[in-house]
Amino acid sequence: MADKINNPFLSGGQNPQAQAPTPDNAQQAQPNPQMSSQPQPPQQPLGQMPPSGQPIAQSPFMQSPFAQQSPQQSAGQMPQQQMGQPQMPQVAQPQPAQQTPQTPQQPTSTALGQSPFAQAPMAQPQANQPAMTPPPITPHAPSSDSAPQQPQQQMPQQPGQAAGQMPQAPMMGAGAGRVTAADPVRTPQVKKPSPFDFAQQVSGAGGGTSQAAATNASGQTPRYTPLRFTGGVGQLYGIMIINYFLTLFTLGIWGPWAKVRTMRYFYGHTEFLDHGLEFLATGKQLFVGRIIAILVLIAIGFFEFVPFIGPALAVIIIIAGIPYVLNRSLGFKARFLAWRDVRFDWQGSYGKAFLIFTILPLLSFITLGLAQPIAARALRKHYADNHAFGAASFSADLSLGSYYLALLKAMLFFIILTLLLGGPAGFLGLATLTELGLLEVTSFEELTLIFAFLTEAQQLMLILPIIAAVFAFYMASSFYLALSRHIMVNNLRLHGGIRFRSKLSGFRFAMIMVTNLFINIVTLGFAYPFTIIRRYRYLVESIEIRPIANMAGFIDHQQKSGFSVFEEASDIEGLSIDI
Amino acid sequence: MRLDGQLIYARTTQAVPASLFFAKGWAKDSPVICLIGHAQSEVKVKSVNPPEGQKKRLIILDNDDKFYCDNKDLPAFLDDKIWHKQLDKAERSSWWILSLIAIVASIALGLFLYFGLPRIADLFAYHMPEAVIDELSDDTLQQLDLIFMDESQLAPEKQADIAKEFTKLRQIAQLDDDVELLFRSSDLIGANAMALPGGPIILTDRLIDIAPSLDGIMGVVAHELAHVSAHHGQRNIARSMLFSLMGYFTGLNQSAEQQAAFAQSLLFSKFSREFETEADRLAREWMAQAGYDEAAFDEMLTKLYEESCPSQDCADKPTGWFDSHPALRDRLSNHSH
Repeated sequence: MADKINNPFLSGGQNPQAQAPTPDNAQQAQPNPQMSSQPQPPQQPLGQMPPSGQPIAQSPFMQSPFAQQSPQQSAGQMPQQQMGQPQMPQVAQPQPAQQTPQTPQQPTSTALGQSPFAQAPMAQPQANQPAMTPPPITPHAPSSDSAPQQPQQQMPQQPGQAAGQMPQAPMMGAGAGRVTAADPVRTPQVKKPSPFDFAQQVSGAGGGTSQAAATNASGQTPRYTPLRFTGGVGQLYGIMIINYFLTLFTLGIWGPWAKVRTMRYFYGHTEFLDHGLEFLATGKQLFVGRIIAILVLIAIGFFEFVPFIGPALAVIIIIAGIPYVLNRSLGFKARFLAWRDVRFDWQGSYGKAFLIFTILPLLSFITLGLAQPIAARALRKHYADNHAFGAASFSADLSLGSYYLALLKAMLFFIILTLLLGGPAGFLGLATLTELGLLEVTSFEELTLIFAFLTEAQQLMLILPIIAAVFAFYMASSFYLALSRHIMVNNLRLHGGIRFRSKLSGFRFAMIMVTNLFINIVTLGFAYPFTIIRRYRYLVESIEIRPIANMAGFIDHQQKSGFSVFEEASDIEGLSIDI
Repeated sequence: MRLDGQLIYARTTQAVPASLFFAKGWAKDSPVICLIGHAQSEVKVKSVNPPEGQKKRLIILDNDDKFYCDNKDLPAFLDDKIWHKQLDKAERSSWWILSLIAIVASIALGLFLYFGLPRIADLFAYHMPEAVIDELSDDTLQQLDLIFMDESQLAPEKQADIAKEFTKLRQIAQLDDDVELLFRSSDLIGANAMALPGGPIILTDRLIDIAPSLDGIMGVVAHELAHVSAHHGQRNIARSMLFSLMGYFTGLNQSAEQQAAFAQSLLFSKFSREFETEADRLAREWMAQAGYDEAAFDEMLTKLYEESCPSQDCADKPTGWFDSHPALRDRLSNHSH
């Protein structure tokens, strides 16, 4: 199962109905109303422009005390407030009087100026944001490396409160349910733009490590940051063995939960800027989907026995149903995957899916593979363009020429492999045919009959060239798959300026695939967790992402979620898409 | 009790360092103070995600904000679901405990496949609707005619003689009249006979050509009728389907595809040999009832093995694990008795 994990985060897509950056779009992407009465996180979703005339504001995030990092503090370092170090102030006092709400001002020039996102300003705190009662903040001797007038980053504590005691909440009742670091009351200063803005934002946005400091020496251009896979083989062995045990002893009922645990393991350990992906589906959802899928598939199976129209109907349902199932399965996979708290989305239509999953492969078959690059490009473009992350669409501008070039390389690779492996094997086969006087046999049926009468050694000699050809084809197809993916990832964009880069090597991927196959056969499947992690890690870690300054500005706007029936149906039928 | 981590605002990617403060004696619905920078608010814990092999734990707050903390930092009172903890603990067991679990599970699976699967599948096979069986047989026959078989070149008189005897055997086997006997010729499969689920029975011209006697042919016909009578075709289909379903539900068809195929081949070869042995036994009983010479069946079997086996010593070859039929020496009457 896990080797079929398609990770939209590794590719992505652009909404075909990509919303033009209009005020309407910005309006649409507002978070749900329940949030409106509370201090808000950034309201301007990435990939969408604000209404014209809207004053450009700094991100509320930049007003966070945590963003008030001194220039001396290097990028990626934690601010003075170390969350991991419990440190309780002695006395809590109200905020100094000068810390009153202040209208955020537009920075004259910021480190974001070079970013493609510089034209799309950060969200402005809402005008109706309720002013919060200043909480008891401990006056703290300003540190030499903290910004002037800025209180130290200390945990507030109530008077007389001992360390570890519960602090009294200053806000109760309505509006007290949420607290943001972006409260203008507490962070009145408009932060001066500094070369560290980007690093501060990213580290504040969940970074805090060197990986998050995606900036170069000038602090203006974000660096490409690789995706990381942090999972270990031992842990996956544990998960898989326990899943195996429970699935057997519950007669398969545990299966959906097993799938969820495995998916969560893979996604959770796939990290970007120190945050893993989150698989949101539950075992219960998948279980219901699986039961429905099995019933529907059994019903379709019985269509075949309906007199006259039955077989034709079954064929039509299968031909029309496969693209539908695949399309809905992609939707499920995307909508139940999130990074931080923003979900991916899938906008693929059935019509396009029918073209991609039925017509184009057929065309490729009819043209003996000549149209294969057309199908491969269309599939990946469809995959990329129809994925979105929150409100921001992915897109990939893929040239057909590069796919034909990839096919050419793969064919060359196949020929070289055939010569290297198939040559000796073919020679042995030919020698056997000559020895047996079978060179003149042209009928396949006759050859099949004769084959049954040969000794095992002779049979092996004749089969060897076929095994070599299959082996070469397996390696070459893995090679081509890797090249196709490489092209897609290199051309992938996420609206708002996020770019992707691939370091995938076709040869290395082909080697991984073929050695994995060998290892699995030799170890009778006991090395399966090792081989699956090896493949997944390579695919994940070959992707690098160039983040943008405002990685905190994405907003989830989805109202619909996926339906697990089609995901389960595709699993039962073994349908999967290798991207 | 203070818990440090990161808070992610609901439906956004905005993450900030934050702390949760739990009062002494905190209960599930009690408020928690959430502290972000200088701001603090009162929230409630909606749920805590199970560990599931993650290094970070997710606490979902009542305003849908998400709070992540290190797994090791999570207070025990938040980890209140015992089975989550037990499952996580089991997954992190030492390698020898995991190996033991895997071995126990594999032995249990093996025992089930060997003893349980045939019995459960047979229950379904015996209750398969007639229409489904007929459809299966018709489809298979169409494909066989399309790929392997041609019209029989056998003389009509010879066909009639065999058909007459066939009717007698069919009555003894207590099978319906719709179980037919068909004659076909095929270069590809040579001397052969087969029974489709629920009938018909097919004999090839080559088999009749090499038959030493009519009794020998009727021995083969009785053997094929036994396959129909004992529902071997349906049982084989049901067992295959159940095995595939098992593979799907246990995840073995994905995690150990090659091994599952190997196990299937091994298991179904054994099932096939059992069916052949059962069919031989029934065939001999019916031959005796119909007054045929049982030794003719042995002769016929020997001829068939000679026809299909290239080397002279194959008659003495023992039955292999992957053989679909028992070895000749295991099928002859002296062994059967």
